Amino acid sequence: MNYGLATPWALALLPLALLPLLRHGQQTLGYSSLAMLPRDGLSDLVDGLVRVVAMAAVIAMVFGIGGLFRAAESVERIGQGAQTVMLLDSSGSMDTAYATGTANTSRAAVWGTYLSKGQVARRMLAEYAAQRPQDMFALFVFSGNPIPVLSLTEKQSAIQAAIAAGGIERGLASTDLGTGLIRSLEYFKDQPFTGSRVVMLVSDGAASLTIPVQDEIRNLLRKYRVSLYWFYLRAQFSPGLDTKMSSDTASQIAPEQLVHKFFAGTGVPYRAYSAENPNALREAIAEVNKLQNLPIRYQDVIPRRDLSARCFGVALALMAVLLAAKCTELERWH
Amino acid sequence: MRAWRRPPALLLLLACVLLAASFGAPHVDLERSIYRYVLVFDISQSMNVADVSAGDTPLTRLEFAKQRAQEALKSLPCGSEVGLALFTGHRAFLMMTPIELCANFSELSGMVTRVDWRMTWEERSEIAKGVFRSLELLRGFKDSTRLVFLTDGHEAPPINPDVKPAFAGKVGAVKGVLVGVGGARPVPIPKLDAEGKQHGDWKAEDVMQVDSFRADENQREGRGAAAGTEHLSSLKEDYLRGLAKETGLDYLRLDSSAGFMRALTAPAMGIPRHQATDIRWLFALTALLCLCLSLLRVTSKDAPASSSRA
Repeated sequence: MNYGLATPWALALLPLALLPLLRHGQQTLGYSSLAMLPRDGLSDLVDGLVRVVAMAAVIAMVFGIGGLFRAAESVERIGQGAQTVMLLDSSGSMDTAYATGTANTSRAAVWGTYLSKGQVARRMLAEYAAQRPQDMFALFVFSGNPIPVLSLTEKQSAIQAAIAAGGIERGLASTDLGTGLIRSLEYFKDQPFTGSRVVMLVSDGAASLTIPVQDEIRNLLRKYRVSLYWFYLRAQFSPGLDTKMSSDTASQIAPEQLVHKFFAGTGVPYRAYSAENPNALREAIAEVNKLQNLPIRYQDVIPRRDLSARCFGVALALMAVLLAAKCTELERWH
Repeated sequence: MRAWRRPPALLLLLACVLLAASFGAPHVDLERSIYRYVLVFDISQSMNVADVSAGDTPLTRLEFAKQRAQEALKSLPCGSEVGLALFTGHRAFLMMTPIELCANFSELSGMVTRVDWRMTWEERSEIAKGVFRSLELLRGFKDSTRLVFLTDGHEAPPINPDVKPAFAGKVGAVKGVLVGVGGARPVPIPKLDAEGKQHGDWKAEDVMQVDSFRADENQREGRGAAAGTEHLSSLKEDYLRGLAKETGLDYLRLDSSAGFMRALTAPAMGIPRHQATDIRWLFALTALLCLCLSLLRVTSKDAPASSSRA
């Protein structure tokens, strides 16, 4: 355990603790012949005690003035949470209007006057993370190149700030879903397996995956035993994930249907949630709750704790003793 | 006079009252400076030039900027808020809105460590536009935030001097500092692959030597590509100074850690905020004085200390 002072120069007052040794501050009485008085052991003891109490009071006050604190320390905690990597599509297509909404909001083309798919996505992720405070989250943003924003952490302030950041401005250029997925799976590389790993893909899926990329994604998903959830954000005029159309047609007008088909065939737990469904978020949270959670170990930091109030408390108790002693002092010989 | 009514006893009583009162959390409202920044890292390719150094080891401009930023994270006072963004193309991409530094130190530090040129989304570096748009971004924040933009000032493609990007925002609405990183001598820019391995340097014919408008004109009129030195890169200090002046920012050439900290904590970078300031220490100090005074008080000169009775 480490202790420190917020304002160390307060220690300059510490020599005052010697004052009770030099000055007793007690009421003195004239006596005709001191030499005739026998030494009184009890008086010496009381005198000594009063001085020690006064010294201790000075020291307690000086440490209180200096702002004594116990330094922040890192402790290992055991939690029950899942490890979730949020993989957020930040391509230009996510800037277009989200499928639901009134004619006024979804037809507007001026950025900032409508709710884009990306903003809906970030709102959902923020809500999801807020409802699972025991989980660890990482955030990956992908566009042309994947951008690892935040590695696994349980700190909600950091998670929420990272989710909020990308929603303020427009998204970036292109989409490379494959590389984004592969790089985000690498977050699990050196992490111990705890029973529940989730990749939460939030995308409109307007991307195609080549066969070698599909193979690598399938391998990594199986290797790291990841459950895959896809929050699908339908564009205004997209047919959605579940229409029956031929692969050729789908690759032309709705490539997300092919991506959906590929994910469903990877052999790992996979669910797609349509963000249009108001219950999607609740369903996803219920699904994650069902996963077998092994305890996970993680480092938690206990922030610095101010101990000056305790110093003042000790000083107050000691001062009360001194005051009591003072009140018993004799004014004159009776 | 009764014992408790004598001055020493009254002083001790006063000290007790003051100490007890300190538990009522006495405070005064003071105006204090707090710090809130968004650090923007230029991750364009010219930042891969290794023409700066910390100590003896040569570093790339980006590594040097990251290193100084890490040191600043360690030195800034708790309560400061830091956000991070990347710049390439013509805009900054915000990765993290400002969060409290000490509580989130490992996250912020980890993010700075991972900043890499490979996160790029566009192979251009239009710095003026990037600075202007970053200022607009920060102006939209709920709380006032200072911009710290770390760049070498190398515009690619070069700017047409007749149609410079103009700052449309309000000068000085968002304060901050443009931080110049790099050496004064023009040197080649390394060509790196996705693994970070170098494959030679960018050559004169690989890059645009003039802006795209003039390049098109040259091609139309059969003049051939213009010659130039745009494939070499140095810190464009005069250019960044001009940009800083145009936007009401400060300019600093990144050098020592101490210099960077001075720029970050300059009076103009502080954000005044009324803050309840703890004054328990004042109560305790007065109590301490009371105790000392009560000890110093001597009522009778003729009696030696050792014989007094409690």
